[in-house]
Amino acid sequence: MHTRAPYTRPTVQRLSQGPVNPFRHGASPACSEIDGVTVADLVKQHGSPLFVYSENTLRSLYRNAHRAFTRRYEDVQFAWSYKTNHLNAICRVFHQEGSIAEVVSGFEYEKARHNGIPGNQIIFNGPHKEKADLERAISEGAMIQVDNMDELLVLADMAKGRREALPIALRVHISTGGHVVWSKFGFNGDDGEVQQIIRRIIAIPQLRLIGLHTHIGTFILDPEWYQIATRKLVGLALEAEAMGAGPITYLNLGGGFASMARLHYQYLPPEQVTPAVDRYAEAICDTITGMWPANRPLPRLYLETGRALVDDAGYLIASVVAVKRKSIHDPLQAALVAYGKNSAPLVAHGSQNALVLDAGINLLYTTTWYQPRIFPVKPCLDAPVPTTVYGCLCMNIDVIREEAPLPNLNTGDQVVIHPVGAYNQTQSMQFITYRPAAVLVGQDKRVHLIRKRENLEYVQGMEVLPAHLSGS
Amino acid sequence: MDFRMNPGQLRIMVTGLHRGENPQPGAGIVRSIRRALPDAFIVALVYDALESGIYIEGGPDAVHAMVYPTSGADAYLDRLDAILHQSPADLFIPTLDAEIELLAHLPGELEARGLRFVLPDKATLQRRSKQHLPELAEACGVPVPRTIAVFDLAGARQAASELAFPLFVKGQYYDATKVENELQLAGAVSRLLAEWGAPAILQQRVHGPEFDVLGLGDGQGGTIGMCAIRKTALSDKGKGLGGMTVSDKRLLQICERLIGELKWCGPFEAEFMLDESTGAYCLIEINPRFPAWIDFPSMCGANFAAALVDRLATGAWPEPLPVCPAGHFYLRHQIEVHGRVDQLALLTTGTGFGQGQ
Amino acid sequence: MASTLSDLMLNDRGFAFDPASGETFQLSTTGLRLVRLLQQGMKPEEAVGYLVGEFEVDENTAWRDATEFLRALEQLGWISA
Repeated sequence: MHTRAPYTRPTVQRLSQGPVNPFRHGASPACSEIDGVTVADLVKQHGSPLFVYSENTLRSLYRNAHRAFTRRYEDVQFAWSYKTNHLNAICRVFHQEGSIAEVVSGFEYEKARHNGIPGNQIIFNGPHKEKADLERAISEGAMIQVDNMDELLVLADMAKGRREALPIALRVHISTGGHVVWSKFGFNGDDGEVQQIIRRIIAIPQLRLIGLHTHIGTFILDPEWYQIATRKLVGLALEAEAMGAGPITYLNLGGGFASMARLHYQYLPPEQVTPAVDRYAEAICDTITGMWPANRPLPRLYLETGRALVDDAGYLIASVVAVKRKSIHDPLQAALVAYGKNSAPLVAHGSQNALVLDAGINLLYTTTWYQPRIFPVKPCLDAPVPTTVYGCLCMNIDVIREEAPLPNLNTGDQVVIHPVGAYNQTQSMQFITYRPAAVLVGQDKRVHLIRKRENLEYVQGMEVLPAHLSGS
Repeated sequence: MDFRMNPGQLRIMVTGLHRGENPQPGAGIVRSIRRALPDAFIVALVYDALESGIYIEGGPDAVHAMVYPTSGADAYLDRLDAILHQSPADLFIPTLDAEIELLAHLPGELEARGLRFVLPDKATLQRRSKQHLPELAEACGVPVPRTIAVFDLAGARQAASELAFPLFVKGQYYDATKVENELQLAGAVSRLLAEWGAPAILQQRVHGPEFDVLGLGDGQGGTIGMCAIRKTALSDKGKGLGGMTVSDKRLLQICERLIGELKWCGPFEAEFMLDESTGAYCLIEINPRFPAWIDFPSMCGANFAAALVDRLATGAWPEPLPVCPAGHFYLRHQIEVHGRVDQLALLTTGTGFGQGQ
Repeated sequence: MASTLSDLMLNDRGFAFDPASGETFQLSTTGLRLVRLLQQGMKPEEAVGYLVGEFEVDENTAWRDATEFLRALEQLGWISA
């Protein structure tokens, strides 16, 4: 019997529909394995969809970033941002590498303690900290980054009767001239508010200011903004000391470094746009060392970078469950729709390939801002064409990519979505079906289950039936 | 010109061959090269089988479809390798801003493929970008229209209220639209963000005639030549349909300061407006490539493309080019070019045509 | 006005030119195969049988894809419903 040729779908494409160039999207690279383990094996063992994390990548991203900072600055401490990915296995990889913890809620605090991190190695951040959580944090010596006046007053109350003053840090928001100021968080560092708060703290004997913190934003592509932010933060620290606050022993520059993700409105690909972590390190470290008085030890530098350490290590494997054609629309209208993901009536201008996957945007919340790459698992036979990739939810907004360059795929084919390691796991929501399992591919290529697929018992475990509805 | 290589053997890769409503420089570069080196083997990299310059008389000897620069370095280099395998080349003259943005990151990779080229380094490219132009202009004492980079519609509305209508909305790399009101602003900003990515650039409108200078920087702060024109006819979209050579020392001195400050190496185009209210030249943008009217100065005795080829082929810049005297003009003249469906078929199915020399 | 299937000009890499309408098209490998089989006067169901015999595809998938493809050819006016 003769061998059959690999199959692609029969298609006919009118060449006036877009530029006539079979190479315009390049060849579509396939992704048949992750860290030496085949996607086929992963799916066979753990089903589809499936979150996959590479331990190798996690560790090398951490080491690379840590080296970039320690090369330039002696006293650097990374704190793992639990909100970016709170799977215990992921957190523990970073803790093993030397990260302490950065948490923004009582839940994350508990998680960090459960992962063996002592309170005094936890940075407690965020705009809402419950009183009970603050009490625990104080008693365990956590580093509290005060967000607002109400919190400051609560802390002053709690610290009454202490033998020693309670050390605190202030979160500050700073304009860098380039980006939208995250004024939701902390005190204004540009209009004198911070100085006013510092004077207040100096007047409260049971509180002692020892640190300043700013987190200018997320996915900051211009390292120069860190230079400006650091300059302002160091200026505030020196001013605080001059005002009589006592020594400022640490600066916390937060996170926000970009990963290899691609924003929706990012024209050039990440490899051209995402700065090397060294450039962030240079902007921050050189600014502090340049400004800090030479006769004093440099303050400790904390960094809470999350996305840049975990995003590129995370993949989502999904399967094609249906292939479709989709009407395409006027680009201006489509752009307006993309803005609000609304459903204005659109006029069709032709049609393009579309796919439905077994995973939806409930697992990929970050697709609101980023366009992950979608790789076919099988090597591609035909040129990639713009393809709309739908998720599996019963909602029209469930679009993972409006236009991903993909070859013609068939039902049952797998794809790998990358990078998705940051925020997707922690922001995913259960909706209409169970959330998938997550595995960690170890450095020895062994595959470790790190979160089981959900089941009915898990999903309804917290439900309580009133007595009058419990009979069968 | 004194080429150390046999000029007949020079194989030159050029991009940007379309000359439609928004003409690209490549076809003009091909014509200029042909004037000096009729036997050069020219390989065109095209993004569309319907780029008109593919089909001109005396056009490229080989044509290949190229992957979009936005697909990333790996895809770009893979395709480049496949093309070089079919049509080997010695020199590379990329002509589109998006290509130059990508290739400025890849000089080592291009060298490894035996290609000779001039490209600005990343930092220099950044200093002349629309976003950073005001800082550069200030350092050189050149006025610029007020410019604000915006990342979304909210930012655009805020910026528009500071600049006042009408104003120009520009993409990072291409495209400029005049907008008169908030509605047009929203349309233009959404379209530009979708097409060219963030940020979009909002620029105050300056009243006055437009001037354009093309030239070659020698990389040491000097120039091999410049040609300045006043745009004499504009299309509805503000594209130059004609130009008249001018000689105004002030304009050339501004360019010398800019190129000196940047130590620019290779082709550039600097666009100006003569602000009617102040009588000063206002810098609009600096492009890291030749403009579409590149072949015009070669008809006035200053062949910039050939000078660039000379530098690439020999490693040394030729003697400075003669000054284009004031009083020559060009008009853009549309003609028909002839292609056959079999040529289209070859490009469409990825074969390319012309092959190697 | 579109050409009939037999008038289409095809090359081996799936480029198609409709001489009546002046439009150009790109066919995938299997699309080209189906068009060539139909040009020979083969019935669609027979042609799909060839597809299953020559390519790694099951009959259901081949039918689903071929149905869509034939609909596209109809819309182009190359075959009648």
